[in-house]
Amino acid sequence: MKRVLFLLGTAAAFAWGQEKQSSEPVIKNVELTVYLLSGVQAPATDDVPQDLAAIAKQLHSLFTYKGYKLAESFILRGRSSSNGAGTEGILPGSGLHYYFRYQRVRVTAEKPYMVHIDNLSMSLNGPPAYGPDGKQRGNNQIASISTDLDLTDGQKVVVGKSSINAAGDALILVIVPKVIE
Amino acid sequence: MTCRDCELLLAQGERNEAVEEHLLECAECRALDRDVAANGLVLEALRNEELPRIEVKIPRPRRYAWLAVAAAAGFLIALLVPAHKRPVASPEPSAAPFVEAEPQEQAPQPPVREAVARRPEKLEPLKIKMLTPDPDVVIYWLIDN
Repeated sequence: MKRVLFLLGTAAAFAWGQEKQSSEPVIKNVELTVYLLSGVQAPATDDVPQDLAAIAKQLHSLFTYKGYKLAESFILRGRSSSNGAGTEGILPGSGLHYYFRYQRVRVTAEKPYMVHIDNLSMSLNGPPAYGPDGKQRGNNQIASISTDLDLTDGQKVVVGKSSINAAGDALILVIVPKVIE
Repeated sequence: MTCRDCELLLAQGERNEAVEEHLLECAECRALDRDVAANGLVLEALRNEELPRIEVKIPRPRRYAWLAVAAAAGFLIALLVPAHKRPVASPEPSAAPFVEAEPQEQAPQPPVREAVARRPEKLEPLKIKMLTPDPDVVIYWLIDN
């Protein structure tokens, strides 16, 4: 019986060592370039930067939105295997408040780098509503996106959601990850 | 030729002169010959008949595999946990003491969490991945459930 336990223990220790060796985190800086677009149902022309022309073309071939407009863009730099990163701001023109955050980003050890983003979330909130007592009521969230993502370094990944308002417009994120050597 | 030889040849569908001569002499083998021929006709007729559909249940071979794994894990834990650390059933409460002990300060008890109705789990949105002709552009579309 002792021999069996010894063998089991040895095998478990070996397997644990192998797993620890293979899952050793690779710590790198990751830069996310994020574009926030809206897909509109009303007749409109595209209003996106030249970098996103190819994406707008693909979106036109897949969806029936009449136009795509850039609402905001930002660069978010974080470190893999840390506590995530986030930013927030106000969309110019609309006054909507946006929150962008991810919980964790992981990068593979070998090239081409694969970037895994845990719990990416983006929310759009309207102006806060106040009750008669002067206290804020609810967060007045208009739309949100929450998902995990696997991206290749340099790839342009589009994450979208339809019908975020009564007009049937879409909320679209374009995320371009860049692993800093 | 014996009747047994004749039966074997008839069963194999081989009819030679010896079989024919034996059939002329033996009534039992003639009856067998008729039965074999009749069976052949019936089987021929069944060949084109559509068979009824039946439901086949394929047993799942690993259905109870987790039980074996759990039992093995429990066995190992029971072996590895030292005997003095295993929980022991508390003895029956003794009779009331003759001398009343001085009240001791009791450590603050953690608040008892009341059972609350479980909220329905939030469903993850359906995520559809769309590959585009451009290999550098991948589209994920989220659909709320």
